Amino acid sequence: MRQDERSEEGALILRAKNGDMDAYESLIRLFQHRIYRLCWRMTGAHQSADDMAQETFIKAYQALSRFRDGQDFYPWIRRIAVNTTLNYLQAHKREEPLGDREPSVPDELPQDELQRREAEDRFQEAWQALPSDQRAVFTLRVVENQSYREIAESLHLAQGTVMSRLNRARRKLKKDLADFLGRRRG
Amino acid sequence: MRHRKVRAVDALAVSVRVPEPPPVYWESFAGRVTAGLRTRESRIARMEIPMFQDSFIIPERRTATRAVVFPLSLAAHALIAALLIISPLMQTGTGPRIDITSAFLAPPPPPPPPPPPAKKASASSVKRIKPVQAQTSFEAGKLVAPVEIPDQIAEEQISDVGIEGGVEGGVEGGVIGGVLGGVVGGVLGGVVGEVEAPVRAIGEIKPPKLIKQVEPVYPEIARQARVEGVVILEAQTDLYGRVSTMKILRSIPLLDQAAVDAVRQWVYEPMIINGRPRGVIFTVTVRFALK
Repeated sequence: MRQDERSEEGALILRAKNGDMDAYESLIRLFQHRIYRLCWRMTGAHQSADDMAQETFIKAYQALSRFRDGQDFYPWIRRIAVNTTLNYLQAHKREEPLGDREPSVPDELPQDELQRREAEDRFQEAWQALPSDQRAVFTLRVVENQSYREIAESLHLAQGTVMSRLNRARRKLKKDLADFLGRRRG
Repeated sequence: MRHRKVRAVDALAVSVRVPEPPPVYWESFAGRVTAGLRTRESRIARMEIPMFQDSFIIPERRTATRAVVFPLSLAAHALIAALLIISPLMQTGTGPRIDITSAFLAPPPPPPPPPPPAKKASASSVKRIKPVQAQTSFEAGKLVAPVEIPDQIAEEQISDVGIEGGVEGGVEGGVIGGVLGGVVGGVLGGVVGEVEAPVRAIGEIKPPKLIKQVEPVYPEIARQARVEGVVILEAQTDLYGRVSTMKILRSIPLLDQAAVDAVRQWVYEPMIINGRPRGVIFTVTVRFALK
């Protein structure tokens, strides 16, 4: 992060803490894409991701007084996003997520795109079968590239628990995608 | 191999593209968040105002009134409590009337001894020498030496009384059909050898006189339950007339213990039979009546 971006972020936070809603809107615009994508990866659906992203920014504003000046904003709000989405997933675990991908016409797409679509569809299928707590750990480790310690702090877990959940998530995904991965290698 | 598969899974996860919403979505996103924030805050504010308005009741400060009313209220409560506790204790009523009846039930005394056997005809024809009253002239309180020697000294006859049907070893005053070892004055059919055993007072034997009587205490619980009636005990006195053992013949559960406790303290005149003190078994009736 560049120094001027960081100072801009700090100034917006300071103004938002003093009740400046315009400043907070600007802060939202800085992070909305990343938070939305994170929520989408965990939920796998636009509507849920939209709800969780909005809820994350609302909670962040309400907790803004506890944000320490000088700290990076994204790790702080990411923690709120992960926990908010995890709570949502655990509360709605019996609901089937609404798929966003419109059924495409395979004949009109190039071969590479077809393969990519198939891979994403297969992954999403295996991903939805994963328990929400394993999804959260896997996302933070693999997609967000966080350390075990950071994940443990974010989710209020022991590092051993983080490692075992990640291991279980990988084994399950590997098992569910075994035939697909085998075909790709072949 | 294993790590390669893991890396493949991780790579697949990262390669999944997140569908990008249209630009209009991003333009309105921040505005929707702040609008949601305002809506939520106003909703919370609306909920708080009536909630706290209803919850807090600020009482009017009336210290002076309370200072007067509180001691009066305390005194009134104490009075009511005292009445509830003390009044039942004050109303004890008149003491219970307890009638006591003692009856002695003694076994028949041992049988009399048999009379001595009748003397033979020769013995009966023996001339009985009556003791001679010496004709002496002496003055009372003054020793005088005899002046004449009597010709014959009468043989002292202790007993020459015999009865037809008597038994060797019988005693004078015995009864035909009596038992050796019996007691003069005993009753035929009585048992020999139970001199020390307690007797039941019946028939001719007069009951011993009660010389110390302790009134039974009417149990409070029986009084409150309005229980009255007669408790019959079988008591046994020892050689000194003290009540040694008791058995309840007719029980009233709430009154039994009071009767037993009282009778245990009673003392009778010792029963003397043939000069020997005897224990006596008899029944005692203790009547409990509320007035």
